[in-house]
Amino acid sequence: MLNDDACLKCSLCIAACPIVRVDSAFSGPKALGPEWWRSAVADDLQETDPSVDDCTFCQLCEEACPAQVPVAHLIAQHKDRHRHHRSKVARLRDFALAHPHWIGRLPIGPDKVPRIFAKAVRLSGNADYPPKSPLSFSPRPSVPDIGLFVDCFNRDYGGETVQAAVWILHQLGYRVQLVPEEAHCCGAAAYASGRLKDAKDIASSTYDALKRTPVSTLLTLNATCDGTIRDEWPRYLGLNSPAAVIMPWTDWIVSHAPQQFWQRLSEKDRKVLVHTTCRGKVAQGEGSMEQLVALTSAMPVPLGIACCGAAGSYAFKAEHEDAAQALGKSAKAALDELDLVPEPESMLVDSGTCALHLHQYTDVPALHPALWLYKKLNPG
Amino acid sequence: MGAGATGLGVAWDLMLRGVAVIVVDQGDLAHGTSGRFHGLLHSGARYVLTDAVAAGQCQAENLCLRRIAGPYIEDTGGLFAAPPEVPDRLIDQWKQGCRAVNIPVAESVVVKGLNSRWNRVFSVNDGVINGYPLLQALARGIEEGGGRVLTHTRLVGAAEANGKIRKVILESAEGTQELAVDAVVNAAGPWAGEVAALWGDPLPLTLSRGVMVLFSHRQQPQVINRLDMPGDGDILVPHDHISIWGTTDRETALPEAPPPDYQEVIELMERGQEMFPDMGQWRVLRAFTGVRPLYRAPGSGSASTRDISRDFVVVEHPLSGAFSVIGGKWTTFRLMAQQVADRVAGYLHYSTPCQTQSHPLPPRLESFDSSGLAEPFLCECERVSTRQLQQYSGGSLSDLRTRTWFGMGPCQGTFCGHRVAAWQSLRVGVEQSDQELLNFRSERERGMLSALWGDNAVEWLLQRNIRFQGLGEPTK
Amino acid sequence: MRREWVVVGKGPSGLLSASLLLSAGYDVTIVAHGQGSFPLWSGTLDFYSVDQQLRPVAHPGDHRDLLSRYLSYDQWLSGWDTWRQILASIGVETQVDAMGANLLSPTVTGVLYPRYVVPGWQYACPVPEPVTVVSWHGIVDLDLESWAARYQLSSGLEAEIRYRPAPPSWSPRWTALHWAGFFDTEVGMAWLEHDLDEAAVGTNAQYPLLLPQVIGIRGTEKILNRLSLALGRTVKEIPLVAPALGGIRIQERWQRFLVRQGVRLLTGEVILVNNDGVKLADGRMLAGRTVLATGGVLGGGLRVNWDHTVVNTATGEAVLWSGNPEDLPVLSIGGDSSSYDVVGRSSGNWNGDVHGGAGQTLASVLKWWYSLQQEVSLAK
Repeated sequence: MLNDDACLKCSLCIAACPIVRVDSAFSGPKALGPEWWRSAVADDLQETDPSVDDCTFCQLCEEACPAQVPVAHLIAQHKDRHRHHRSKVARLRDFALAHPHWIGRLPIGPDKVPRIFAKAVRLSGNADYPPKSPLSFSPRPSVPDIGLFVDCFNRDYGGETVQAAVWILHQLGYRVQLVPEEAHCCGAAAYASGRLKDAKDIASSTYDALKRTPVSTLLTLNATCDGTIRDEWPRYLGLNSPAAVIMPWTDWIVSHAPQQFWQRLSEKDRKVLVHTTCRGKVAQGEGSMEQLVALTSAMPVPLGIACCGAAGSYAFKAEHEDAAQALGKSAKAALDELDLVPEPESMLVDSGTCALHLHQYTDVPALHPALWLYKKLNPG
Repeated sequence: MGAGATGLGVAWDLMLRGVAVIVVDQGDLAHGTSGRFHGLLHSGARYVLTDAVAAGQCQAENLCLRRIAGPYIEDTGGLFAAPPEVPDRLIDQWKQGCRAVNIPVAESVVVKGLNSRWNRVFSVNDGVINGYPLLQALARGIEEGGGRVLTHTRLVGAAEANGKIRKVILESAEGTQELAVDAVVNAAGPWAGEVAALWGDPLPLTLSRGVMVLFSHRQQPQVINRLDMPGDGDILVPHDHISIWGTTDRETALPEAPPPDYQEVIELMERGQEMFPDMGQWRVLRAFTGVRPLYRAPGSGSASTRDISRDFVVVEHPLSGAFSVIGGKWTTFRLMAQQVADRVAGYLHYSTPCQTQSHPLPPRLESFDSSGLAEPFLCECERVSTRQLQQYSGGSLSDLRTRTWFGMGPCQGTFCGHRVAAWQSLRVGVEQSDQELLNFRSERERGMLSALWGDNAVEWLLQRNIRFQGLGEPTK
Repeated sequence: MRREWVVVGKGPSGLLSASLLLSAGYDVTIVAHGQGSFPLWSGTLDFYSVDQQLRPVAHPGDHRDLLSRYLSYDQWLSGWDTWRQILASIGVETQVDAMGANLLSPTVTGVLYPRYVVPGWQYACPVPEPVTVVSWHGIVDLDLESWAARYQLSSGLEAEIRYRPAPPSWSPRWTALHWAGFFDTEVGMAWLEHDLDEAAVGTNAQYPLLLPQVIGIRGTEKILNRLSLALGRTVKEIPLVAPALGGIRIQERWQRFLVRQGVRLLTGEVILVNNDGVKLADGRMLAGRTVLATGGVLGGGLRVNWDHTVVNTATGEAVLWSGNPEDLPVLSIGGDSSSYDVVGRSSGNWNGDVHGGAGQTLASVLKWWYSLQQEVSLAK
């Protein structure tokens, strides 16, 4: 990591951090990242800061850094070192949550986990958990134009979303293959909780799986997977990116769907809330979902917050209840500030866990843009 | 005269023999050469090809300092890496040289980041000296033993009677004072010529400057030397959080260390990238110069400064009781002090032998860890809080800097200068602390400007922006 | 004239350029890598606040010769209005002196410094007056006793000071953002109101009451108004050093505003600029005419190498530097390039650190904007 030591101390990372604003015990990205790293290198530092676990790994700090210090990734290393100071239960729970594609194979959804068990393994008591909604189909064209990356969440809890995304691509005349063929994960969940070795193993097994079904275009449904595969695999996980054009499904639709497609929709005078996730802002930026909404003639209204507080499985952990709730409440405050009349009927967000969390706090049904488009094209 | 390693070393030695001593320095402790070196505790391996005696002394003193000054020595170990052009013959000669003076040498594994073609690497027992705390400890020890240490005090004259030195005249902010003395040891380093001139016996002193580049992080766990004949740019020393890369060797006229010559810095960096190809990308903090006082033996002609012996000489002046000591190395400061003190003690008829080989230095002030304190850091880079400043209140901002290490990290005081100055203003008043802040800023800036590239260039501009736009500090 | 524009950089110059383009009906995409300098800036517009002898000046118009290097005096006058209107449209009210002179506003160290346009939350006055300052233990940048002594030196007037204990949730790692996040909550607000009630006892109610600039991020104006009403006196802030809440508030409101107006705010590293648009490091291409607001050496738009060669980071072009440090802040990039425009710090000629950073933003962006309008009218 060439710029790990370039910190200017300017605090731009602190300014970008959503947790600093809601968690008074959180030391902030500058202290937990580059400052910790500098002493870690010098002293082979065993000393760690327990508040490091309250980082959501949204990476907004790293994106803000003017000196290209890998702030979030230094914090991830800090988390990795701190792991050994944590309780056995927390470590066990984190190990399980770092493998979301395994959890997805369980016969019941996390929403059906008995409360007493959830409490015992330190799962949050006030988070909404996803119900099961597994994939019900898997198209296998002989020569696909497009590979749709089915991530750990959507494979088991986002069946409808995947189906909608495929249906729309079919409408546009593309032959779609779901990849990888079995349940896999890009490694983001493990990395975010500081399980770097697990992240590497999970990612390389996914990399191998993707190689087995090569495609020239790989579309992602969730920006976290997009950023992880496209950017972090080569930069931090020692893997190549798959040899394909990788881009979010939304960006692809916005740039490839012809005029006639959009003319089938007339959402005039409708306001649609949009939230680009923190990781989406880091991976690509804001504006694609707004463009998609505008193409339907509806009016996009960005929610205007940095991070909703879900952050993958962050909000599912008991020790993050307060921070996740505070961020959820700021999402609600941002919505109230918009003072939308009539109240918006839906909010577009490309992440399943963020959708759950935003729905929980704002009461506005949140869904993936693919599913929203599908519903608009298939009323009833 | 001189509160560097030599002066304090001599005073410590004499004090242990029972002599009443006073140490005087125009600046703070380590104001001159002792505060401007790379920090290497030599194993002696650097000198085995050119000066076996010096190499042997280094090795012996290295072991001795580890015994008596343990808290001030970091046992990093050192490596010697041979560039591909160095012939095996020379490497063998070097190894034999090491063995001859008992320097333990072992073949070592390849170092990460090192030029992959430099694949012959050997380990030796180099180390790192924490110069400032060591000298602060010596000063404390001298004072506890009844001696005095007068910093920011200048020697302006000497008086004699019957061919013997009797008095020295000192000047400081508090005024002029005369001290009765039986002997004077001139250990003023590069200023030794000026001091000796006060009793009319100028010294044949040659000054040599060396540039060093300081990087913000500890790039390597060990000292890394270039295995070759000693030359420019051949030592990388890890020092707490930072690394120092040096050095050059050019004749210079004045004792005051000049700002580094940019061309010299470039050459040093070019040389560095032969060894570490990535060095140009390392986060640089500053560059600085140290001035070595060298004794050019009468009749040695016009040899280049690199060829003048790093050995030291003791001069007894025609004026009885006046001694000068010139040259030498940090690593062997104790030995040097012993030999000077032997002469002085003899002159004063003290028969107690030298104690310093076995007498441990005063213990290190408990290293201050602010992490657990319920107060914020004023200096975030080096984790300095108000509590640490309070330990040393009484000094100027610059004194506080070398004692607490505030302002020494990656931001070079950008975010802590005004905080510490505000704390200081409660003791000395706003106008005085503003002046001290200005001195602090210009000292920091001088080093930054000498290595103005990469993120250090960005930091410097950020610092100016914050000083002039954010804080409203005067621009001149 | 092309309808699409790509603005590179999201600091003050980038957002100002984007706002102007948006107001004229262009399609605007902002792309940036790193945050930009808002969190290093209190939000005031300084305009050549010191004269040739480096003494503070009363009136920006005292420097007509310097002004005219950039714009005509009339252009300046309307430019300042434009600036205030744009800030008002994103929800930031500003104050100016009725006579068009500089206001005086104390810095965090107590120096009265001339500022031209000042955000409403920040304390500024036409002539010095005695003040009351309240701060809390733990705000390290603002040392009240030292502040009062320097304010006395600087203004000849008294500053009453009241140090208060920090709130119970305070920790030594708190930054300005932690404080602001705390005051943005109900609990924080209640604590603040109660604390100031006590702090104000025995102080002179005729004096304005000044607080460190940590009074919330989203709710600042609301909180300050509520406090002013409760205490029956003016309550304003003194800006701190980075992270600077003033700049952060402006940045967040401005970005939200632009995204809501349909501006895409993308994350990406520009590696090539030509007449068609820009290419990003991840392969994305953005079409449009390009304006670089990449911020010179300080902003990362220029990089100085160890051998003192200088490179424009967006285009890879070499830029000539004399090696003299004093020339570094005014280094201009690609002045004669026809494939992109340049604004802000990278446009050269103005040392923003000494002569007013935001003044430079305004000068360079307006100069570019007026010449663009001329180009448009010529084309017509």
